[in-house]
Parts: sequence; structure tokens; C-alpha cells
Amino acid sequence: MGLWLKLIPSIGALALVTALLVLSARAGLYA
Amino acid sequence: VRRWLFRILTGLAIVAAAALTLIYTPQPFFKHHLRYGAYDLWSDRPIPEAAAKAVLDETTRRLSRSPLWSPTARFKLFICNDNWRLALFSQRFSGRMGGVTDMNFTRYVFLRAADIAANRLIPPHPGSDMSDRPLAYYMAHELTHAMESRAFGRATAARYPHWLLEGYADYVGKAGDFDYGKNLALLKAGAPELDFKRSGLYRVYHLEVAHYLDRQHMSVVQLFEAKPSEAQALAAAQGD
Repeated sequence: MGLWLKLIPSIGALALVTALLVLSARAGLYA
Repeated sequence: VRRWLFRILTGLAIVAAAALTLIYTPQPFFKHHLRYGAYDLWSDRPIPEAAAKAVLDETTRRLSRSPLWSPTARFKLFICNDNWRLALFSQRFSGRMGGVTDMNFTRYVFLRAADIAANRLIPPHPGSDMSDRPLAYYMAHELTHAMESRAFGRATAARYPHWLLEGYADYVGKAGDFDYGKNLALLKAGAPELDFKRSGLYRVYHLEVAHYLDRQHMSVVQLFEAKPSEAQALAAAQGD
């Protein structure tokens, strides 16, 4: 349980950064 | 549980690293390269050197008419003859477009299949009228987006109206090959070519930009500072 609590913020942060990276790249792709 | 948590974490880190690598280094997907003038041109097919240099010279002629052009700026272009590359790098999962520019991160340009020797882009819709849009137009159009991003900042696509970004790219791309009076008459007659939603063409936006730059004698920087709305721009052009 302790490990979950320690690692969930890192997983969340990394998932968020990845999603933001891909979405912002996509938003900036102009035809 | 511990092992799975670390697997998830490692997996996510790999996905993030792969996304970054793909965004910043598409070069391994393009076998052929030509460095000429301000440009690094990559393609997934052999590049006919003399013809490519002529097209790039023509692109420079168009771009250098813009005050956003800098003789020291360098540009990277990638020609995707295989459409899956365009779908991948445009993140659209459909390659039905002339090209795209990454305005947020890299300012790289990706173009669809092209016949460089004929200075021609192979259009997504067969039978499209390409008479005023040679390959050099598409290069100059997309590279204008790169210049807009350099001049006005990375979040340009979010901060400026679509009509202005596309209208200016069409204006620079066509380099004066545009009959203002004829297009204004078509707009007033409600012609589909002057309706972006019906035709997918940027001619109406070009007309609006030409109104501000050529009729009102605004500078590009002034126009981007004012950033009129699409409705304002349409009303202004129709008033000519």
C-alpha cells in the first residue's frame, strides 16, 4: 500500500506530461 | 504489485521518450536528404537534385517577400510520398492534406507526395485545380507558418485566428499571383471557391489579408497585433 502511495503521483505526473506533450504537439500542427 | 508499478512507470517513460524522439527527430524515417540554401530537405524517395534546387529557389523567392523572412533562418522540410508518414507526423491518422507545420515545438514542415521534377504536389483530391499552387507554393505556405511561429511565439496557433494564420500563409505562398478584384467579385457573388467551409480553399482568407496589407497598408506585425476576428475581416474585405 505504501508503495502505491509513493508511486501513484509519479505515474500520474508522467502520464500527464506525455498526454500534454502529444496533445500540444497535435494542437500546433497547422495545415 | 511493486513490479507492476515499476513496469507502468517504465512504460510511460518509454512512451514519453518515444513521443519526444519522434517529434524532434523524424529524419530516420526519411532516407534521402538535400541541404541547399536555407533548407534541409528530406524525402522517403530519391530527390532529383537540380529540380529540387530550382523548387527551393522558387520557394525562397516567395518567402523572401515577407518581412518575417530572415536570410539567416534555416528550415527543415520532409516530403512524405508514402502517406502513412504524413498521417503519423501530422497526428491526424489521415493524410488528406497538402502539408502540416509543427508551430509549437520544432517548426518542421511535412508535405504530402510530390513530383519535385514537375514542381507539383500530388493533391489529396484528384482533379483539384492546382494551377495557382505549384510545389513551391506549398513549401512557402507551410514555411510561412514556421516564420509566423518564430515571429509571434510558440503558442501562435492558439493565440491567433485561423483565417489570419492561413490567409497570411496563402498570401506569402502565392507571392502576388492573386487577382484581388476578381476574387472580391467572386466573394460578393457567393462563389464556393471563396468559402473555406465549402471549398477548403484559403482564398477568402488571402483576400482578407490582402485587404489589410495592400489596401489599408498595414504591416504584418500591425495586423497580427490587431488580429481582427474572421467576421470583422470578412466585413472589411466586402466593403472594398
